Formats: sequence, structure tokens, C-alpha cells
Amino acid sequence: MAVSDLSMMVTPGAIHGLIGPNGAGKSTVFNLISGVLSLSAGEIFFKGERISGLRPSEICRRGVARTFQATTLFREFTVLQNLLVAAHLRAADGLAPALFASPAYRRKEREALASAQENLTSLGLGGTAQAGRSVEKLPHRDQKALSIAMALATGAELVLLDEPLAGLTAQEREETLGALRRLRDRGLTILLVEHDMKAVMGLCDVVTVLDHGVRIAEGTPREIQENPAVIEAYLGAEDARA
Amino acid sequence: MPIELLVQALLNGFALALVYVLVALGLTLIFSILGIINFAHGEFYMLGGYATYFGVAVFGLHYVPTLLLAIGAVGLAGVVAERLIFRHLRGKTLNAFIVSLGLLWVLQSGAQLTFGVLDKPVPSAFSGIIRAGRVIISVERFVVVLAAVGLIAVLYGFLQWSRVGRAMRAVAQDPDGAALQGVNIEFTSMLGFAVGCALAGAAGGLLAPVFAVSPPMGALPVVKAFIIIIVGGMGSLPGAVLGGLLLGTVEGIGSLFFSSAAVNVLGFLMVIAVLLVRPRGLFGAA
Amino acid sequence: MKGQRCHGWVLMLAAVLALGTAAPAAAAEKTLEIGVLGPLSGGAASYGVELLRGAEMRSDEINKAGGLKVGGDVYKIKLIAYDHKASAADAATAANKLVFQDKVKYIIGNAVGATCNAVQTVTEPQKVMFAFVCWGTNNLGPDKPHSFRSMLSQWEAAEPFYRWIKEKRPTIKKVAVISPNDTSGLDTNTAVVKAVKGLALDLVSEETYERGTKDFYPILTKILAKKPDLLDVAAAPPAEAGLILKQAHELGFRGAKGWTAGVNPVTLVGIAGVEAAEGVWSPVNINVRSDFVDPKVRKFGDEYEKRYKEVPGVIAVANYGAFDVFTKAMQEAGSVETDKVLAALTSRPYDTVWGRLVIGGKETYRIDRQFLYPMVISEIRGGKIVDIEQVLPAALKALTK
Repeated sequence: MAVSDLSMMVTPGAIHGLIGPNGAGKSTVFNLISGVLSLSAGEIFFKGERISGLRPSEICRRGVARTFQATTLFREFTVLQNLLVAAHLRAADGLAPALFASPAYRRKEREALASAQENLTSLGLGGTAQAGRSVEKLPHRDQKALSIAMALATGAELVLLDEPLAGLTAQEREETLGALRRLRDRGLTILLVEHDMKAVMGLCDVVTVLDHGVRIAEGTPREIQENPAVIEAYLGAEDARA
Repeated sequence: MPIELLVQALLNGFALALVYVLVALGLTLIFSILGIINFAHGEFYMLGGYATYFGVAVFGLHYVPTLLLAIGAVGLAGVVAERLIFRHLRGKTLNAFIVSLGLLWVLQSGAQLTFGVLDKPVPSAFSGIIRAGRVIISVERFVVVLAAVGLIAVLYGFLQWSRVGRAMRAVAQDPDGAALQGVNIEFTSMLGFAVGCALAGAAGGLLAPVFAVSPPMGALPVVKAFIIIIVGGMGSLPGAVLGGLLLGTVEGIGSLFFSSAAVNVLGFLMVIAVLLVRPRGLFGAA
Repeated sequence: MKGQRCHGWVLMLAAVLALGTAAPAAAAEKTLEIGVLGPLSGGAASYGVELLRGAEMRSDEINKAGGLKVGGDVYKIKLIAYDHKASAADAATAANKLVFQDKVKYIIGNAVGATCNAVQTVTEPQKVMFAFVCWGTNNLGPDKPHSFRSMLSQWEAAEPFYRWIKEKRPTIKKVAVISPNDTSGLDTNTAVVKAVKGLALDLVSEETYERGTKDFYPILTKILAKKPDLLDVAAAPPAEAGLILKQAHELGFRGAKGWTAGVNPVTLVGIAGVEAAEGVWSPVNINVRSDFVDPKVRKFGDEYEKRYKEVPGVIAVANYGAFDVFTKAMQEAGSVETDKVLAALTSRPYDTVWGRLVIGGKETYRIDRQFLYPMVISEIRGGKIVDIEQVLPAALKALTK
């Protein structure tokens, strides 16, 4: 899905929602920011530096991480190994220290792991007892939590979450929303795509609405809910679906 | 049939199969990381053999440091091949097939022109035999077996516990996902290719004193490696080890009952049998 | 600009080509092109290399002496060599190239049995003279009048070799033989089996292997279980024979060793190691430094070593001899036409590098096309080749009586 003439600004320390009907271009925006797709025109800046045109791994290194709608976990790995892959950026000192397991490298890796564990716990996924579990056997909700924890483990300051609530029960949603708020309170910036309007409106500080690849509205949840263009877009979409 | 003969036959089969497992592990590592099959893999085995030949027979170095140097040198050759050629062929199976066949001819003909066509003997650092009843293994082959098992263990540890090894496995499972977790795909692929080549080089260096070296020496081990990884499952390391042990058993026992030409066919029959029952190999991912 | 530069290159290229083609035309003498085939790469490469070098040695001698005088003409000899990698299919392709593209009338040099059969499907219908060192029985016959074997084969060598073993080493009773599983190998095994049984020795094992085999442990495990007194690596090429003996030694074999169709023991020693190669007897190989050989062979050996920094094996001598005999026959015939040369190549004796040589073999092949010359049984001692005794092939014995 093409996106054109999109201009948006994510404020540090805020939870920013990106919504719109199916096919509005939300996933495309995520792919553009994370470098999976490259821009044909325009630029993307993060903390004043241009990140458009960089490789995905480089963008991640600069502090932007994302999760996927379909959870991408390394299925053959255990929970711990998944976290280690994500955490390796923060421990990265080059090849030699890692190969020879220098004390500094070991310490950094331990620190990264500890904070990843902490995040996992706050996201409702168990503690160290589950570190050795194969991710294939985790329940859906824990897989989602793990993918968020992995994004955090990279040391990201901006996390892009693709439908973090999809497939969760009402109670699990509540827990996740609580966890996301706590992360914001600790200074993390979150950009999320979500279909659950009630949750988006309750959680987000700012919401941007896309339709057919174009931004049709941006503002606080209250402003968005009252915006006729948004209602039109959603109703139109409902009509089309009917 | 006396039991000693059976044990001797099994020992014969295992000793070499373990070295071919090294070749197979390199091949399958490269396949899982870059999504390509390197048909010139046997030529890196050949390079390892010649590096050992030059170190031991020409420069008079001791075998053990020579072997380590040879492994490093072939790893470097792998880096060059990856940077110049294979980097651009990630996931392009057909292109990689054609290009690697070309590389096979270039390396083999190049070796013929540079090193000559005749077999070159590599003096062995180990002499004598180990005897248990009527079962015999030469010290030379016994050392080869130990070294092969050691290298397999080191590789396992590297992939299991080192940061770079984990990154390789992450790339193998999901390159895009790994990139989004900050894994540098280019560097990891290059390193994976180098490690794969170094494994082939190690096998070549290990067998150089056993069989002598010659430009076409890589053809046989790479065929065995293909049998091993098809049986064990493309991309699976435990599969490669199991495939190798199966091949060693089948060829070892088979050699007691069939001619050597027929024994070579046994390996392929095993491939067909496994593919009929389990098309993705014993340990292959679906 | 670009177009002009392009023209410049084309002109230069054209000039080079014109020079290249003009050069031979400027020379006054005629050129006789002679083909050489052989495995120049792969496990049997040492055969091809020796064939080519033997041919080079003789043709360079002729050219340096001013060329080959045949009738009223003087010919410079030009060699055209192709590698067939010991594969029959490649050999047929190479023979077609030589005969139809290069238009040669003589192919002097080829080895490995199956490739000879392939070449003969081209040379015989085209009446191209063909000399080789292949050991296939059916490479010679009344249906192949243009084909010559320039080296003793297992049929000439096996019987006198085993007769010598039986007479001089009477403790040897049980014989095991191993060869590659192609024409040369199977024929050599057959000849050895025939000789062994004819002499009432005990054949305990007859094995074949695929060319290119490196690991002989499986086959040797089977062979050694039969406890042979003598292991004959009959038609194995030097590198593979070396591996067989090395591995047999590792598996504890300490019996006698023979190499009925053995050539180039220097390579064998290199691969097998001095210890495992100790005591190998070989009847067809030639030791160019030996007291038993004709002084001409020693001289050839010295020059060959000076030029190639290697000691020649029997194949180099054989092909050198074949070049000598064929060119002498041309001079005898006063023509390079194959019909006349063929008529001149009768069973009259030649004085050549081997000493006295006759072309015989009718009792085995029903046609006289086999070069016959004295052979020397040698033994490898401490990595050196030591000649023990000269014996005559049965047919040569009969002819020279």
C-alpha cells in the first residue's frame, strides 16, 4: 500500500497511535520507518539524525525497534536465546571481545539480560524460570509479550508496536495496557498500530489517522473522535465492507 | 562372518564419515544463512588440502600449526568469495547454482595450472597403529577422528553460546526479523560463509596426509556431504551429524558385501529411501 | 571518438591475426602434425604427462636435427595434444577434433583402456595410425590394423612375472589382486588370474575399485581377511597404488607386494611412504638408471631428468620409442602416407631406445601389432628402485630364437 505526502511527528515520551481502516497504509509506515521498505521520496529523522536510507539493523542500532503483527520470534530458540539476540546490540563491542568473552562483554550482556527479564516480568511474562522454554510452546499472549520485551532489549528509545493487543483476552489487554503506560512513564516513546479503538483512545496521547495512504487527521483522542472526516472514513469503510 | 570384521568395517566407515560431516556442516551452514547451495564447496576442501601441503611438505612446518593456519587461510578465502560473489546472490538459488559451478571450474582449473595435475603426498605427523584384537586403526586416522569430533563440538558451542553464533542462527531462521533486532545481516552472512568454508578447509587439511592432495580431490567429499545433508535435513546441524553416522554405517557394512562401485550407489539409495519416507530429511524444517 | 578507437583495436587485432597466419606459410619446410592424447588431469594424469613428454623429447630431437627427412621432403614435427581426463566420452571428442579438425594422420600416445576403444571408433574407419599404451586386450586385433601398442601389456608381462615369483620366491602361495574396474583394470586382473592359475598358485581374492577412490580400507579389510602372501596392485595407477599400499600397511599387511602393470614407482613411493612401499616388485616399469637397461634408455633418462626435473617412468620411454619407430617407418617407406608406412611397419626388428624391438603378438591378438622388448623385474628398496633380473616376454623369446 502506497503512502504519500505523509508528515507526522512523534513526541518523545508519548504513546502515539496510528489508526485507519484496513489498507490505509499503517503497516507501510512501519516498514518505512524501520527500513524494511525504502522511501521513494522524503526523509525520516530520529533524534535529529536522518535514518531513512539506512539498513534495518543500523536503524535498530540508532534506537528504533519494532514488533510484528505476526510475532517474529526465532522459533528454534528458547526465550533466553531470543532475548540474547535482541540484547546483543547493547553488549556489542565488536567481534573480538565477544569471541573471547571478555569480562566487560560478559558484564554488559548480564546487564542487558537483567533489564530484559525485568521488562518481561512487568509485561506479565514469568521470570527466570521460563528462560529455558522453547518459544514455540509459549501461549500466544506470552509470545506477544516476549516480542515487546525483545524490542526493548535492543535498547530502543522508540518502539513501534504492530497490534500489540490482537488476539488477547479482555483481561490480558488490560494488563498489557498497564504495562505500556508504565513503559511510557519510564520515558519510552511508543508508536503503535491498533484496531481496538477503545484501547487506542484510552491509551494514546496523540493519534494520527490514515486513509488510502494519506493523513486525514491528527490530534488528541478527543479531537479525533469528534472529527467528521474520521467518522466518514470509518463509516465509508464499514459501508464498503457491508 | 567374524565380529572383528564387522567392527573393522564400521570403524572404517565412521572415521571418514566424521570428516565428511565437517564438509556437510559447512555446506548446510552456508545454505541456512544465505539460502544458497555452494557447489564449489569441495574446492575449499581442496584449498585446505593444498594449504596443508605447502605448510608441511614445502615449508617444513609442523602439521598441527599448519592445520590451524590452513583453516584460517581457507576461512579468509571464504570471506573473499562472499564479498566478491555470494553476497550478491543471497536467496537467488538458480543464480547461485550457476555461479558456484563456475567458481568450481575456476578454482579446480586454477589449482591444476598453479599446483600441477599430479597427486602430491603430504608427510604424516603421526605413525603407527592402534590394535584391539584384530581390529586396527592407524594413529593418523584416529587423530583425524578426534580432531573432527573436536571441531564439531567447537562449532556446536560457537553456534549455541557465542553472540555471533546466535546471530547466525537468528539470520538463518528469519533474516528480516534478525535485521530488525539490530543484527548486521551482511557481516553475519560473511562470517557464516567464512566459517562454512573454514570447516571444509579443516576437512581437507585433516585428510591431506591420509590421501595426498590433487586438484579434483574436492569432488568426492562434496558428494558425500550432499548425501549427508539431504538425509539429515537441509539446514540442520544435528541432522548432518546423524546423516554422517548413517552414511558411515551403510558404507562400512555395505563394503563387506558389495563391490566399491556398488557401495557408492548405496549412499544414493539411502537418499532415495529417506526422501520417500521423509521428504525434508530426518531433521529438516518443514 | 569511441568509434575510431574501436576501429583501432580491430585493425590491431587483424594485424596480429595476419601475422599469426602468415608465419607458417613463410617457412619453406613442410609440417607433419601428430596428435597426442592422454589424461593430463585427474587421478591418471601422470600417464598423460609422461606420454606428452616422451613425444616432446623425440619430436624436439628431430626438429633440432633439421627435421624429418622422408623421401625428398623435410618435415618439421608439430604436436597437437588434448586432455581426455581418462574419460571415454572426452576421448572420443578429442579424437574427432584431431582427425576431422586438425586433420592429423598419426596419433602417437594414449593411455587408459576405455579411452583407447573410444579413440579407435574414430581412427580405424579414417585409417589414422594410432599408437598407445592402453592395456585393453581388444585394443589390438585384425579388425584394428592401424592400432599399435607401444608398451608391454599385462598379457606379455603377467606370465613371466609370476613364473619368476614362483621360481625365486617359493614361499608365496596365496595371491590377491586389485585393479580399477575399467577395461585396463579388468583385463589386467584377468591376465594375472590366468597366470596365477596357470602356474598353480592360489588366487584368494580378486577385487576392483572405482577410479578416483581414496579410501581403500573397506576393500583392504576384505582382502586382508583372506591372508594373502602377495598383494598385487596390478593395474592401479601410481598415486592410487601408493594409497592402497599405504593403507594396507596401516591395516597390518606385511606380505610381499607386486605391481604387474606398474609404472612410475617414484610417485608410488612418494604417496605410500618408504616403509609401505618396501619390496614392491614390478615387471613392466623401467629404471632408466639401471645396469640392466640399454645405454640408450639411460641417456634418454638423463636428458629427460635435465629437462623436466623428474625421473621418467616407462610410459615416457614407451611413447618416445613409439615416435622413434613410427618416424623410422616413414623414412623406410619414403612417404608419410599411412598405407605405405603401415606396410613398412612389419615385424622387422627396430633398433630403438629399448634396444632390440620387434612388433609381434599374433598368438595373443591374431595380428602383429604389439611392441616386444626385454623387460626388467625391479624391486623398491628403501624408496629406491633396484633392478633384479631381466626376463623376456614369451613371444619375444620365441621370435628371437
